[in-house]
Amino acid sequence: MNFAELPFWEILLSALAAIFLFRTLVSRWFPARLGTFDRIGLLLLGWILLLAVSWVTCLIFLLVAVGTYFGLKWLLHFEGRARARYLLLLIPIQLAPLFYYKYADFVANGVFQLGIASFRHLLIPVGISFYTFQKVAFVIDTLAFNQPLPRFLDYLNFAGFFPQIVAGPIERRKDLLPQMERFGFSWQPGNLDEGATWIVTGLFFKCCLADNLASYFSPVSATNAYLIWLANLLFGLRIYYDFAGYSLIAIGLARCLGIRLTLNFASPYSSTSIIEFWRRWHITLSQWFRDYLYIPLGGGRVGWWLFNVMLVFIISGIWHGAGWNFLLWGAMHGLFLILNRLLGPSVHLPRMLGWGLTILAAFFAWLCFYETNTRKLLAKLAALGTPKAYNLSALAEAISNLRTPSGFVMVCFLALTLLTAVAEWQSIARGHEPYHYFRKPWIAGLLVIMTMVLAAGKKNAFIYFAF
Amino acid sequence: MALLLCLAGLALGVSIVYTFWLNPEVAFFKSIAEKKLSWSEKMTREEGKKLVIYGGSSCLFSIDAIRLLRERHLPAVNAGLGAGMGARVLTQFAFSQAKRGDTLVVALEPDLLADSLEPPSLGIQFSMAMGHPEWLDGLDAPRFPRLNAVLALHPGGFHFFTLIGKCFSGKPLYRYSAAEVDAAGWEQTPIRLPVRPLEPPKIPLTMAVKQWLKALKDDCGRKGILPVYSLPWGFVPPESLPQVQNANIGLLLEIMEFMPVLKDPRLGCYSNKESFADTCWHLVPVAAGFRTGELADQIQNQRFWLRPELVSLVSQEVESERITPRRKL
Repeated sequence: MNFAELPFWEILLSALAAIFLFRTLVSRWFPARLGTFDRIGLLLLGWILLLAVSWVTCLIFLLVAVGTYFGLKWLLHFEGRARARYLLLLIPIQLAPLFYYKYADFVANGVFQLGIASFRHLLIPVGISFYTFQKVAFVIDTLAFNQPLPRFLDYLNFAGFFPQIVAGPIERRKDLLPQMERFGFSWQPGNLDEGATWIVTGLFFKCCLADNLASYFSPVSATNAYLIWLANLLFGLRIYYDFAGYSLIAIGLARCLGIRLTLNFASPYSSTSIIEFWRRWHITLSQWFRDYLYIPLGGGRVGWWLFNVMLVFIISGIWHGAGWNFLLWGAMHGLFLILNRLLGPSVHLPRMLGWGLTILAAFFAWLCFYETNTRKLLAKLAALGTPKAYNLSALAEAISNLRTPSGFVMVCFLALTLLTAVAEWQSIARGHEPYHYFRKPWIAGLLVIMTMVLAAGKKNAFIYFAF
Repeated sequence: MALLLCLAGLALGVSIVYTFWLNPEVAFFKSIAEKKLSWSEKMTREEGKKLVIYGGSSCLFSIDAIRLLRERHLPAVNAGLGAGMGARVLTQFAFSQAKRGDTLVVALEPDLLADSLEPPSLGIQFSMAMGHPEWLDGLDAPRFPRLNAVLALHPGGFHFFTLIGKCFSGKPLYRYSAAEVDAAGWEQTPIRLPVRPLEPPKIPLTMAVKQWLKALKDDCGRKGILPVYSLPWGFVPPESLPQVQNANIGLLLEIMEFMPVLKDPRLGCYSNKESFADTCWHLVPVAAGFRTGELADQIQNQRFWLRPELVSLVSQEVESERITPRRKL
């Protein structure tokens, strides 16, 4: 379900055309059943798109979704302690497919060196990390707020709403389920126009910025500190435009169908502290960890809050991938956040300096995200921390890389990202959501032209599909 | 929404016009492709059986087909274009010129066999501008979606900003000119730039590439064409020779399963930096003459690598004596 590829749109538009054809017939013959037809239509649309990815992906999704629903239904027969006890059984069952596909190899062969061949090269079903977390949240929210079990059809639409199933946003019951219960296909011009501007912004982020930046990302040098920083910069920008682009397209698609999804990014690189960065980066995942892990552990008001923060960030790192590098990435951000919380009240930095330090920390940490080879990662971290690695010959080498046609084009794209960052920052400064200016009609038109002209020739899969 | 869709259509329309009639890179390749097609027809008409030698720009700059005809009486066409077109388009372009009884000399750069076989933008743009969208279809793969091909007709960020940079710096819009390419398809350039060494190829070949090579072999068999592989020459400094040559041997052992491999004792590595013009694949005319001569020797004497020969080479460190050029250029 790659929004940046033509087959997705071909399948989507064909399926929508078929649905509308049948809908016309249903509205004529069974007008009272139109609501049910629409909800079934949405469900089938999601399944068709998931089947187009692969039947295994669809099957595992159904397994987790149906298992969660009936597990919750069974759990609702109990009260009090028994319910809590069985909840502790249901959640691991929900997480089991995720653990098997994503972590079995790392734990069995990487950590315990068991050499289990069947765990190697397991293909991770697309979206499993996202929809599993959404379903865990659904179970907890239903029980915690004493909510009734929704109708199976509405639940399936909530669990498998196609724009957000493979890479989020991870939606909550209270936000998405009521919209699914009221869902009906209708072409509202306002929704379509708003949705189109989100889609255009997302496609510009993905096809024009992320895909072009990807072709200049070269993580080869392990000794030249300048080149390592350049790789960190390019990766950090790429992953933002890639993932934010996906999320914006998801919001746009949903909006066209009359559904509002949560904004998953809010210009994270305009943050002036790490705490703010995590309020702006992958917002729905951060909120998930806050509500279902950090607060149950005691949050920030207990004596062991440092442990809580560190644990949450390490688990967040591991969520992104099974590897020591992801663990280190999470731990590094945990440490930055602890420092931010400890020093924040006493040290008042000018906003610009705060922004600079935040950007420096975030881009430094990206190294741990993209460098999966532990030996190389440690060598690069050592190079970044060694003053000698910042010598003149290394600088000359880095500059010589820029003084090529490719280097010039890369600088042009970096300038374009700077312009988009300024637009985001201006939106926030004037009290709008960060992507407000991109969605102005004439700017959206400009983005369409830029995407059509500048889109990279080589398409890359969305990075977060791997998670 | 309708306005945005109209703008998208308009931008695509302008992009198509630019790509077909104004893009200097596509115009260059169109122009030299027409020369090659016309020479190829002339060879078929006047000489009968011929050699169709093709690959990326390594072939374009290294095979002097007129010399092959005049000095070795080997009718040939240099069907090389640019590696940026991808293996599939390069092969289909060459294949379109090969007739029953011809020899197809596959001189694709190893990198083209390591990457995905999906045609890159330049390959799509070239095929569409030449009016041959069927060149995008794989020998073994389903038809390349034509809508995807139309959407790939935009210039892209790299091309756009490079062109802007060239306009501002007053440089020519494209480095090469069709006038540098002779009637038989060989290009010589006066440009001299620092040359970076060649990296060893990625091996083993993917299953998709193996299937494609098998399809190429089968298609050649059906059409009565003899396919042979010839490793192009790239610049490799002496200290990297064993590493690159060993990797090339690994590649040749895989290619050998599908077609005979011409016995080039250099194993695609050439260590004289002065023999390269502006990239590690573009030979200067003197070196191209040398490469052309050696290729003619191999073809006329039917010199092909035998598997045990290559296996014995890969198992021991490649001796420097064997790979040192016999003549200094």
